Amino acid sequence: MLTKLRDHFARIDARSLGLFRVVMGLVLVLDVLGRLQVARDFYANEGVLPNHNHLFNLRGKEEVWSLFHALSTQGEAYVGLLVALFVFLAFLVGWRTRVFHVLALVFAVSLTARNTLAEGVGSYASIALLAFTAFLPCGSRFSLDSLRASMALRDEQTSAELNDRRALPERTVNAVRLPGWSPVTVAAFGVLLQIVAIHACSALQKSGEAWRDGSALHYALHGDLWVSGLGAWVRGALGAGVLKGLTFGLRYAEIVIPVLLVVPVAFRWTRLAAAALMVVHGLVLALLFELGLYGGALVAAAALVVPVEAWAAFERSPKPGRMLTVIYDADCGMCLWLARLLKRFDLRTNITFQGNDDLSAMLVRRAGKKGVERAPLPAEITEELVQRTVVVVDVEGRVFLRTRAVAEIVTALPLGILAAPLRVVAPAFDVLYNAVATKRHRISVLMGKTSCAIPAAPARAVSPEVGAVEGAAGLTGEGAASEADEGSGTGDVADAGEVSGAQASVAGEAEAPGSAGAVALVHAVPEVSPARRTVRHVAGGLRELSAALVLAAMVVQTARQNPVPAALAGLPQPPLLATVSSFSRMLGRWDVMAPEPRRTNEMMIVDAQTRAGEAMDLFTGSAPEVDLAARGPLRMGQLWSSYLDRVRRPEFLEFQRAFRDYLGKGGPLRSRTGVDPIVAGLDAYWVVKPIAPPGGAPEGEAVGAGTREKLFTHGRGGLGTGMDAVPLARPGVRR
Amino acid sequence: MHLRARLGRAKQWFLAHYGTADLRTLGVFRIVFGCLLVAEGLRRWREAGWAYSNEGVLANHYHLYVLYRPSGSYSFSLFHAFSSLAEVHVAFALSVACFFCYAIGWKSRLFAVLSFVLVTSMDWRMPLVENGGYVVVNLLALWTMFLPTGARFSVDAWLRSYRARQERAIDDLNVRAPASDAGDVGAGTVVSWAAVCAVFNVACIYYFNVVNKAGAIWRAGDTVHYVLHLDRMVTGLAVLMRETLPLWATKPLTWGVLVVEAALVPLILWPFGRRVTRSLAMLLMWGLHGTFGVMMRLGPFSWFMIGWSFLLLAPAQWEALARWYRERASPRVVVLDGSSPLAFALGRVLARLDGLDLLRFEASGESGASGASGASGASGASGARGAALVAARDPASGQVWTGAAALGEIAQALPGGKVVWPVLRVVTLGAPVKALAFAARRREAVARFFGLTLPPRPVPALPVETPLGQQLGRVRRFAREGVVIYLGLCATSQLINDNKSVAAALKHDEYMPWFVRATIGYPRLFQAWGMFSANPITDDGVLAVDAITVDGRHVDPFTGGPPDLVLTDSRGEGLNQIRQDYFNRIRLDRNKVFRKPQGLQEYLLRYHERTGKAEDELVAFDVLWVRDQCPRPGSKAPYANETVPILSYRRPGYRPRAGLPPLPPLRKEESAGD
Repeated sequence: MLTKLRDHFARIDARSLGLFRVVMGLVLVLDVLGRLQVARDFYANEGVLPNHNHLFNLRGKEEVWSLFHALSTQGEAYVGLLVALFVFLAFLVGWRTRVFHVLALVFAVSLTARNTLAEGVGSYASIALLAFTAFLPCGSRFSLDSLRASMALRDEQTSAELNDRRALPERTVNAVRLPGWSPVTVAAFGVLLQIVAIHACSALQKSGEAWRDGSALHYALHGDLWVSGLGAWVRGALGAGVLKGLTFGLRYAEIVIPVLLVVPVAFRWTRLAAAALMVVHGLVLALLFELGLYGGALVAAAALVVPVEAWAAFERSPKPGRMLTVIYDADCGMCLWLARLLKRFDLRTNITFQGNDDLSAMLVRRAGKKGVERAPLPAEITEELVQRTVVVVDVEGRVFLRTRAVAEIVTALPLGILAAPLRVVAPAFDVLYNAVATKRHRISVLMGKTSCAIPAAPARAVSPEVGAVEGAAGLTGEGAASEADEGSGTGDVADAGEVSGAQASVAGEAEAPGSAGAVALVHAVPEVSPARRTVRHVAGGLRELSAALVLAAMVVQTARQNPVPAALAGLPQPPLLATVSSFSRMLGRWDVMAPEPRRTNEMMIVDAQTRAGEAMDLFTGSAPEVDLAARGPLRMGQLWSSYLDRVRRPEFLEFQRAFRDYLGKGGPLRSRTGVDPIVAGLDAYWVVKPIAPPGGAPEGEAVGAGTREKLFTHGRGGLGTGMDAVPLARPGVRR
Repeated sequence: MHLRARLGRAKQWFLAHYGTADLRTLGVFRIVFGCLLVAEGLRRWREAGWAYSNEGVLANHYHLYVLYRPSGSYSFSLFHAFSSLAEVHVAFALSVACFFCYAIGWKSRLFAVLSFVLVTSMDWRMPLVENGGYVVVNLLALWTMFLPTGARFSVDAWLRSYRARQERAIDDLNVRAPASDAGDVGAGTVVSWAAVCAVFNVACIYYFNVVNKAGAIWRAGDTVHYVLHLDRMVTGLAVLMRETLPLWATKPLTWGVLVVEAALVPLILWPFGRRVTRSLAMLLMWGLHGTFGVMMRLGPFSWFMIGWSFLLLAPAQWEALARWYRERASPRVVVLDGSSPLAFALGRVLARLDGLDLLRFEASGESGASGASGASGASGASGARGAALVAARDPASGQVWTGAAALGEIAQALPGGKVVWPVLRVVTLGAPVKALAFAARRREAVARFFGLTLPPRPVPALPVETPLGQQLGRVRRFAREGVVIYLGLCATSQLINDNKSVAAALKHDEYMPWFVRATIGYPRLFQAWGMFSANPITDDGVLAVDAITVDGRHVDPFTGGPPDLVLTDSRGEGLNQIRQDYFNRIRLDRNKVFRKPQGLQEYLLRYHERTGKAEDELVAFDVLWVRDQCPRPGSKAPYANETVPILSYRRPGYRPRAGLPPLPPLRKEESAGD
């Protein structure tokens, strides 16, 4: 029981880690694409906060580090962001995963810390998740590394080998582990605790009346600073009752998720339920609000709690309706290579392979749990046909050729249903297919694959330096461990995720006849020497210590930033832990819409006058509109929302000068249009307007026009046209 | 013959003579350059507190503020991202680690690129101390980044050889494969325009250093005299020399410098007789820069120019060296315990170190060495407890050595082993011998611990390059050479613009497009070569601070002692290059911006924070450029000592404690040069 508990809380399935990496990578890529749109505004010295100004204002106050502080001009900022994009893409596809995971963390921190006024809770969450998972083998599954290692380990040559889906023996898996690998790790516990902390603290923070009476989402959606385009539509389209339900849904999800994650019973179902809730919760926040990475990070985190049993059930259950037999050209090296690739993508074992040299009037197909069987070959499949094209036969005996066959194959893969429209458009690409098919032997030779039609070109060793780099694709490093994890399927050796339904035995030492790949593998992998084992233990110890340090920093920081129980609140924060939290921007403040969303709609209005004497709001490009209902949501992204919400506050006064200069040079309008409006002067106001309660204001009580506060004046000031519609809160320029 | 064919042949000849680099040369160069980079990183790391962090004379935010020119300054330093001293320590630690990885040749290409980024970043973080030496480092890192410096004598090459030559039995150790036979590094050489650029760049450095030195002092032969009297930058050895050397002896030295620099250009570029010309060039470079290095505190210049000379090693030199060493080394038969996996593993190591092919390997039992005991130095001894782990035998006389003696005999047959082995024994206090004795006693246990087997377990073979990979490789090489040629053109353009001896008609600085400026500006690839030209400086100077503490003491925060405002009695200031160049630059009017309100003034006002003593708090200071004139030729006494106030500070509203004199009035800041 203790072992089960330990595994439940301190062990994460390799497939869960792989899925997390893919989703998190996607979220980071989309985020950096968004940041590219505002590169001038937030990452260049022409923007709201030049690097020197930021560093100067931070000195002695906060420990902040960002690579982007070294970049000054807009061009440099673009280069920096493109490098970040490359890093996140490499992390997403799992290429040299460990290296790019660490780099992704560095860049996530750097992107966040370049402008501390624009950072948000999404950055804190994504950095925390990246930090903990950096200690875990996230490239073990669903990655280029694992694919390359798997291809190197198992060199299938026949259809029988392609159809052999058994996992690798435990000894093999252990032999190629990364130094210090352990199925149970502090990092796994840490990331789970982090997910619990995010949700639990969010729930604790939401102590306002609006969350209790169900009006919170109504108010939140009417806050134009934070609402997304979809959110703005939803607030008008959905009734008060639905929003109330959604409010309670969000609130209770944040309470239930941590409970489901820590409850020590019914592991499979509690974890699955928690994952589902996390996805819904994260998606709602991501779609309805401009919270940056927050929603996406929570969705990605959901992958981490998918239990091993769920993966095993998924992988062991081929979908009968999507099972196919693929007849490929056995003489074509490229075709075999593609078949080997497909085998690795085919997690559910839907595809059975058959070489065109092995027809003998019989079709090989998978028969549920009975394994592979032979059936009569459909009449239309002839020797001549299988020489010309790939042939796919589905369970109903329908035969597909060329691009249509390719489309059928793609739809049989996990998530392939998303590619269903390919079935319709595929035939249009038959010309392309034919062009490739007729040259397949030449392509095979080019790729260094053997081809019966043309002898393979003599291959030569690669140059030393190339070899030194590319050689890493062998049995060492993460790639090998990745393959091991792929082999074991679960990230450890207790289960055998790759074992097909037909051969549902746990992978062990026994080598069944015909499993030539597995036999070869056992011989290829060396024993683990005591020296290497010692290195592994030392490296593993260091890894665990580092993870424990991050965990301690996270716990203390979370306790200080959130209304946790008194016993936790008094935790001391030694300087080292404070440094770790501050530099990494793992600030642990989970206060989204807490204690309740503002009951006022707030927005910055810039009343600028151009040289031509025209009044213009530099955020909208049209005349300043002080009536927020007529103005509409900001919809410029989380960076702008966070920045505007902070820069107007007195504690950030020293940052306003740079902002004023930025607005004076055209502000966001210049960034978006590239045209300098030549600002002669401007006034910036913070306009606050009460939001009517759900169902409208009580009878006899009108919603006020609100107030506006003048933040600053630049140059000649604004024209003030129409500004009087909202009264000034404090007459006179405050600063 | 068609013009095109002629041009093709000319290009071939040119690349064969200037663009072909020996892989061994590149390997040795990498080790030398990497070690120099490590030393350079450590040297700058020592100054991190006052020169590279926000606790020093130039905070990152202030430097960035000074540089702040939206869209146009072409300056970048990774070190600007590091603010506090702790952060800067991390940055330097990572940099030194990167240089070390480059030096040992682990992931050589990656760390070559990273080293280039880091050296240029270090340079620009503190531009006030940048000199020609820093630019030399940048250029050297740039050109060699495109060359396969990790193909030989590197961890990469070592690992590669283990995958390429998977010996299964002792006889296999006697079969040696060629060093490399693939790609553009075929036959042990590489052809690249980067090699052309590296060779021509160093030749240009000497050429312009000669032609720019056209002043009267150089012609009169008095330069050495003046330079030796620059107390700001001389070493103790130079002080000794100037005090003992008569004037007549300094004149030939001055002219000698010119002659050597002038001779180096043809010696480096002469396409024939390279065994002599290149060897001579290397010797002259070592002599010239070695002398500079021990006499003057010029920072990296001298040592990296010596490092650059290693690129001049041609195959002819390697062959001569091999012949020379082979004549002095004796072939040996290494007798390995045929049943020990550990002995076989040692044999594999020795086979890879045996560059001269002087070792043969055989298993014990095949010869008279069978049963040689592990006792040290026993000649021809027959063991009582079984075979020695490793023994050595002279194939001519049949004499057998075991233990430490065997190691010595094997080492003398390895390249450089005659020199390295005794040094290694002394430095490690005989550890290799003790380790061998221990391993011989516990050979089974040691083999088990390291997982050694007989035959050894196979490791993944080297990947083979597919035809598609070959085509992509060609594209990659083509692109790389294209980049090198572009950089070469930029460097040529910069040479023309930067050097005053080039005719004005050729200068085209105002026509340079922005991307060329960016290419030169970001990595600091300047080409102005004119140290001590047209004449050497004849006035000497240092910075002194006359600061008054809150308890009325006068102190110089840079030294911690009382201010020294007299330079004429100096026998060398003992300043390192970073400090002396900072002093020399901060005095200039163009660098006023780095004095106050932040920069130097802020640094001085934090003096008490650095000492940790409240009574050291400064209430006033005058920063003075203390200068004198170097002695005239024939004289030993400097003269005309004067102090120029360049920065003056009095704490606003400060009233001295009872009994202390009032603060002197604020001094007017004057120009100490521009």
